[in-house]
Amino acid sequence: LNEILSVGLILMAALIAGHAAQLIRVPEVTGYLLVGLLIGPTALDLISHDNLEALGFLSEVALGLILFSIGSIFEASQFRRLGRGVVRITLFETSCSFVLVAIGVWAAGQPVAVALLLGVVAMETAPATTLMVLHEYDAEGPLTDRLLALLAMNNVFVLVSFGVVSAALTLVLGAEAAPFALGYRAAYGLAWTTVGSVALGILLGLFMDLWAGRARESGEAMILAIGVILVAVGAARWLGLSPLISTLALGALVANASHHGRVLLEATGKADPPLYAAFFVLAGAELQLGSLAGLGMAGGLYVVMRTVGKLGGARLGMSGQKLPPAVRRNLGLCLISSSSLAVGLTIQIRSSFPEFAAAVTGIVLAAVLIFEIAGPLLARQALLRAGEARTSPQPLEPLPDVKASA
Amino acid sequence: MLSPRDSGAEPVAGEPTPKLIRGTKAKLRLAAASLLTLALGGLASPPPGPQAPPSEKIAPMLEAAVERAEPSRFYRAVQTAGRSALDYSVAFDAPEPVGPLTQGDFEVPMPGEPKPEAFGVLLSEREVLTVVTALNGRTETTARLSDGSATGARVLAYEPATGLVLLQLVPPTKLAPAPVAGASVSAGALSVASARSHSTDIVVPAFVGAAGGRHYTVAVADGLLPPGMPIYDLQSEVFALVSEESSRAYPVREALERLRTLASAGNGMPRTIGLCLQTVTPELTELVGEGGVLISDVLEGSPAAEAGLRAGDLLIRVAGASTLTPEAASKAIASLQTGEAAPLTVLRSGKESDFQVRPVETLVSHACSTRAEPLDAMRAAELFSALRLPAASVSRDASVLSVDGAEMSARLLASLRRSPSKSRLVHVQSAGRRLFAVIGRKD
Repeated sequence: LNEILSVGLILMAALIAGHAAQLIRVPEVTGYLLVGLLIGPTALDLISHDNLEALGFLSEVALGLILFSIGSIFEASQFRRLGRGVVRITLFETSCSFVLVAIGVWAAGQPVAVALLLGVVAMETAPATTLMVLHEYDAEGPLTDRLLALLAMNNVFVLVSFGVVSAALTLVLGAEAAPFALGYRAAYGLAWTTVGSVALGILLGLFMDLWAGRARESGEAMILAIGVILVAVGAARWLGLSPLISTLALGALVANASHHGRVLLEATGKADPPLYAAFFVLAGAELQLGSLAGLGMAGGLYVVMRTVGKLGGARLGMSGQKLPPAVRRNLGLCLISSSSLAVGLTIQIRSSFPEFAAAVTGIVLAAVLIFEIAGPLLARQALLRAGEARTSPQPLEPLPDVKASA
Repeated sequence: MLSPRDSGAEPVAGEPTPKLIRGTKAKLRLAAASLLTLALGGLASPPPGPQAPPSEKIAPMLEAAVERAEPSRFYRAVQTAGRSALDYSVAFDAPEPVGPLTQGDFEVPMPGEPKPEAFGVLLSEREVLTVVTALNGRTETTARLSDGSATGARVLAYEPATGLVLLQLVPPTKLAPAPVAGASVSAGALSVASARSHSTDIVVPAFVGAAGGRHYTVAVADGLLPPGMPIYDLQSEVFALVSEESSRAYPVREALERLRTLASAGNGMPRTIGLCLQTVTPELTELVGEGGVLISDVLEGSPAAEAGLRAGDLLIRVAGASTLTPEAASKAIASLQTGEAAPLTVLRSGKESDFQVRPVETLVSHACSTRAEPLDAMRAAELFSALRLPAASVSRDASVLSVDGAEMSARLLASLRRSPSKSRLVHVQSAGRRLFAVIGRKD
């Protein structure tokens, strides 16, 4: 199929899947992912590997938009209210997953380096999937607030930890080269992806704020917002920075420095439903059913330990904090999903540590398949139990207009 | 659409909430700081890793550099430096490989043809740095020093990754050793390759094409640098030694440190048993099993071959230690004692069996990629087209040695054609290296 047809097909499939999902009371995201799995290369092959590669940029753009909106969580007054508690929970859930997974994988006979790399990958919680579920059920309340902040913190944590672990491994494994040059390169890489990405986000955010004052209509605001987000993603890739951190920083800056933040967020909100639908269908198409066969002992332990680490870590992090019981009981369940960032990290591992790539990739792909399907279902359950989901999803606002004009 | 809510602190319409960053001044300052960060980050970026310029560019680069440096003065400097550096030269006859792991046919030199030579440099009264080519599998050799005397030399330490060897002269010489340059040399530096050969003295200007990282790229205007050729700066201080690949030279100072460390730790001589290993990728798991590394080749005449190990066996334990990656296996093998039998456990046709292997010390490097190309083997491309399969992970030029353990033949091909899409384990050889791969699976 050519790319345009495949995008069309993806959106149609998403449309059907979304409705079917509502019918059987599972989150829309799950529907999108499953339909993606169905039409993807593992099953019907309507969307081929080549299509996936060509459409990869759509996923990056969608992820940029998603992280921009997550970034606005860092609005100062909001963050002051939730911040310390959330940082604590993030610390606990990430480090518990890291430690348990690393030990489990190591105990299953994998080399220490593989165990450490998998530990870092296990720390990640999928921002997009989780956010999508929150949105679909129009969730609101203390659990939702914390979850949003957690997602943002989690991803920054994961990227920094990945930088630290890969720097350490490079140093230890590359013993034969000059340690100073290696150390400098490793430390530079870490500093550049974090500090540099934040600087890029801030710079673009200030420009966005400046121009937003001049935007007269919502169309203009939409062009501005999406344009700047695309520039942030693209420039970050060009400069070797992290698109993820740049767009997070962009969102955070706009929330903290601009009075037009809300307008800009709403503007992007109008543009993104088809992008998100395509994002998840594509994510589903990239899942590999066959990978489950290669899960093995280490993979099984990875899945179990990560689940235990996430649930237990969140519990530990919340202990001693004054929290409603609904939050305490359900927050961990919302952290299970794992997706694009995990896969992105394995791609980086493939280029930095080719000797461990086979072991890491096999396990991560299988685990992502499991977590990506289970995550949204668990999150939905958690939201319902916490009473933060208004179960009847609101129809999309522009829909009546479309009908009227048709 | 996905805008998060500021629950609780909803701003009153028309009355914006105070923001963390207020006022033009603060924003300008923030913008300046970000720009500065990006600029500093760009400036502080580490130099790219060692990347050699393409070889066809080196000769023109050398000429340009010589022209810049005033040709006559430069050549005078090169001659002066090179001549005095001749005193540190060490030369070796480089015979054809001998020893337990050799492969291929012997090459009979034509009468009158200059004997193949390798070089080295004298670094102390008893130490010579050279490359493994100078030894070709032996652990002892004869070194010819610059005064024409010949002396015995035995291996102190060998570094397989670079092919560098530190030799000990027995007895030590009275000749003065070469001074080693203290600082590393930068790209574009003019230098001189200097050594005393059988018949002539070699003194040629050499050009450092790329520096930094773990090795230099050096070249001379025409021809190739022989292995082990020392490269001097214009003060006659040696800074690099040409490796087996003639365009690559390793920094002498660092190499000497590493090899001395190896020698003093008693790890100077790598032990081998003649196995080539391959990671079991998820595709291979189904066909070869899991929990080990795949033996992709067993070198003829090696201890492993004598013990009865075969390509296609899955190596699961070496002396009781489990081997899940080629690295772990190599490490376990390297820690075996020379000449002492050690048990290797492999999975063959689903059954575990033990083999007793006695490691030998060897200097044959890259032995896994030195297979002579089979003459009448089927190419992978032919197999793919015969079976109407898309080209798989195997290089199209690879020679197919066997499919599912059976040697390639017309009858086998006919039976393969009957079920072309079934997944099969093929043993192929590409660029002198033997590997296993899976073909035929349709996703």
